Amino acid sequence: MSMQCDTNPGVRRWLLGTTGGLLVWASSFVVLYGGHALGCEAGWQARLLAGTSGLTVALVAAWAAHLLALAALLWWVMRWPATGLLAPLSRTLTVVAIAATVWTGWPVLALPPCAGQQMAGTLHEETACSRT
Amino acid sequence: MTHPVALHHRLQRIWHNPSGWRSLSAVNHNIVGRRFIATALVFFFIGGVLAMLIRAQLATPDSAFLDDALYAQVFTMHGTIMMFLFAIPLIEGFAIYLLPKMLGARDLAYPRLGAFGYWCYLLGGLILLGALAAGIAPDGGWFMYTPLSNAVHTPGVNADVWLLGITFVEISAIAAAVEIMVTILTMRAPGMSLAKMPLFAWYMLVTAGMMLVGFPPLILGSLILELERAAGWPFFDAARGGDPLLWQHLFWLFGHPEVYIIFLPAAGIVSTLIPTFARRPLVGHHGVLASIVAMGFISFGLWVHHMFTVGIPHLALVFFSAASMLVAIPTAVQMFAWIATLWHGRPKLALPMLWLLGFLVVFVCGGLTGVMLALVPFNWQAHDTHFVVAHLHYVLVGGFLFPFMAGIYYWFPHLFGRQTLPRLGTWAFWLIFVGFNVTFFVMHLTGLLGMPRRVGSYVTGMGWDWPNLVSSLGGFVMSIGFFLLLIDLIVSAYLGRIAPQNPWRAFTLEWAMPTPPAFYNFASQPRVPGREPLWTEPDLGAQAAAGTGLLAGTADDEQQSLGCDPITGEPTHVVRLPRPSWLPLQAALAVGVVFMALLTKTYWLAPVGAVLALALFWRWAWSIGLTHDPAPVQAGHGVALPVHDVVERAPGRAGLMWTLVANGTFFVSLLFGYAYLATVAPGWPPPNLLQGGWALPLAGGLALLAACGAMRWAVRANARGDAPGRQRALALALAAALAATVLLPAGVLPGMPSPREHAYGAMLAFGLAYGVVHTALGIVFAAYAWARGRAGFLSAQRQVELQTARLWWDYTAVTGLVLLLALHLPAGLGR
Repeated sequence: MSMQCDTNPGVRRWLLGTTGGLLVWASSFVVLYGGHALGCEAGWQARLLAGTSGLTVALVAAWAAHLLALAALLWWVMRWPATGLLAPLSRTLTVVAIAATVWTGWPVLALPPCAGQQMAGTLHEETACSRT
Repeated sequence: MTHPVALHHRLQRIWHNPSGWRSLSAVNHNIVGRRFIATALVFFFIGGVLAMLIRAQLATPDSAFLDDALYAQVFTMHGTIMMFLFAIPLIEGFAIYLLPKMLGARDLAYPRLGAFGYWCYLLGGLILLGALAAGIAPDGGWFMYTPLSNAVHTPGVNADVWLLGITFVEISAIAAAVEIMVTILTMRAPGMSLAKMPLFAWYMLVTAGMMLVGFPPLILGSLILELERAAGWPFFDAARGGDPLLWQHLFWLFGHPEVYIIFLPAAGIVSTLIPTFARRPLVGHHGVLASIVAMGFISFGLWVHHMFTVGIPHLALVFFSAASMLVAIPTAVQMFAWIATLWHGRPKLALPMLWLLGFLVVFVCGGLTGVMLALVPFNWQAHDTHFVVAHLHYVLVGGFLFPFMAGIYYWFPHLFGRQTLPRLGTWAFWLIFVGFNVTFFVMHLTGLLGMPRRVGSYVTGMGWDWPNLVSSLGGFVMSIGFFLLLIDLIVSAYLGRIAPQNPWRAFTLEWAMPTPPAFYNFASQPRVPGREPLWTEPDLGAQAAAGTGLLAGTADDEQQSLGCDPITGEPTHVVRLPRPSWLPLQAALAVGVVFMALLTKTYWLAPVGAVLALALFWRWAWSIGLTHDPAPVQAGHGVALPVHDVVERAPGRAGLMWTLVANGTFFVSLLFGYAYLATVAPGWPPPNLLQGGWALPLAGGLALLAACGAMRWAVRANARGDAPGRQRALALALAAALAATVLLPAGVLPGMPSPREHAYGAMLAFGLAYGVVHTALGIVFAAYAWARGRAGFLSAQRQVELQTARLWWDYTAVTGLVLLLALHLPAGLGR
């Protein structure tokens, strides 16, 4: 029986290539959602930066930082030798992650950050009346 | 080379499993997988009967068939059984039975863990069924929303049954996920690189990862809701700093990924069966792989779409709406790949294929209504109506039940060595397909006409009468279909025609063996020639049976299977596997004592059960290992491989690593809950903060670091062959672990506000308990490593158990330090 090995790019490269991009997407999603919730609670939307809401600026900056990280990851995986499964799979998944980050993050450019917050606050006041 | 018949007899003797009542000690995946599948199907039929009760009640307006209280129990148990006692265990059963065979292995990485998981599932399920029979079943919906499920609004034991019973069952899900992960990554046949791995294994790999990350938030939610109910700790009470929405976040952080945890294995079946019946490889293999991984991640970004109406700011709604629409794309990629495969192939319409065609139709409809519900304005209109009920049934029945029914018919000859009856299954399919669509297609309209879900009766004149009657008629047609299906399966199991070895001319390795299979699957483990091994080498099974692969004639009388490099699949070691044991059943019973004690509020009994379980797990771990450095195993073809006791990729260490992934998710969910309440919940900051200085927390932190450092020192000493140094380091680790277990609560308890007063105190107490449980288990790890060293189980080569204990302490030290900061820093800053 032949014991000939496939080329082994290593576990770390596999992990990074197949999950790195989507982990950055997950980080962008959590940072945008969490940062938005914290910013609205703290009232950052009222502070103006360059003529726009400070919270919007902060969220766009966080979003752009994630996109930059993804661009760097894509640049790196594009340099991997195109043999076997890992390189094409990693490239596809990194492109998917970039598209996902653009798609789930673009609303920060389009919507005022804390619209609807008042309704959420009213609901909380109502629930605060419950005695459990 | 050993003669094939002699080889078979020898392996039969080594892999022997007892019969009769002693078979309860079986741990072999063939038996455990079958048990999971059979038990899940029993629960499915119970859940189906409950569904019929629901449809009987809703068939006519003002029905008095079930009163409101009983109706609430029936619909809650229907959802609970179908999600937790049918769908997930059926997936586990298929994975446990099939994966080793598809991967070319002889068993799973942890046969005893699989058996333990089965007993936890069965016992937890019996608790729920017992409550149903006694009329005290959960009645707050399968989602158990607070405040309805708190002690004020649900004062009986009903909600406790759900919270504790389901948590008990979830042990089996976590156990199965760990087992699947480690088996897929480290126990494949020679040469089965990740590129050659069957797609079903890829789907299960991603699913197992999702289970490890998806289930812990629900386990956390269940534990803290039970604490609120039993001890008055107000995590979800808005009047005392809690927030009912925290429950919804924790539940849906699990609940939405759960939909994909259910769908992905079903899609794995589809991706396995369609190429077989199309008689060509899957089109777009690479794109499908990328879609599986993408779905595994993106499905965690959708949970808030179940909460669109709770009052969340618009921008946050759009984040989740966008993610909800996005996930349709990888789903569609797979759908097009399946259609293209059929298009380019020569499809053969056998019964499993009929179910797959049904799946394609039904699931596409469910997916489209899913995209509709992802749109916030439509969601606001349709929320909590029967439209959502129709949608979720199209997704779950279409996306899970139909593919799994295809799978049951497809692998039936494998399970029983017989074929199903020629026509009965087809009749059953059409009755179910037609009945299903009559029931649920019309239900979209019922929902659009405004009928709310979870309501047991309605008045006439709302336009809901005839659609409900039609749905009920359709439901009963579907039931008749399932009854025929049941008859088909039972009769065929005993009277069906004997099946040939590979009746579908399939390409995956599970068909490279006689059916039903021997407990050892393969007489020798074959080298895998490609992604479709049986199409490349049709006589691979015969070669394996003839002993031409690896591990055919090893000298040891042990149950063995090959361990491999995770990427290339090349063999790197030999895994020694356990024989039948009563320990899994005993351990599950001991854990059951803990859950029953909590459920019956016999709290003194809970620690008894916990100590008993710990003692059994100690014995379990002690029963493996070697007191001498083992010689390499001559695996055949001149290949000598070390046994797992002396290699880095030993199953025990890998298993703990993946368990800690789940544990880490639990910890992060706890921190999320704490941060969520502190920033969003009303009534913060709390009236009283934690009082106390920095000395004791600092000492606690140093004790954590000392235990971790001492454990690392022990590993290094052991690697040098310095046994006395190792034992001294382990004694130091033990002392530091004891100190940490004392110092952590000593720094918190004296100045801690009452956990009943405010959610802040409850969070502090729960966080402290998390830390103390980990340091206390750290004592057990350190003591175990010390005792093993003393008994001669450790050496410079045999260091796996020491590495495992070190891993535990690395985790405990890191989370312990984070915990110390989370407990003390906000109080210090606030004072």
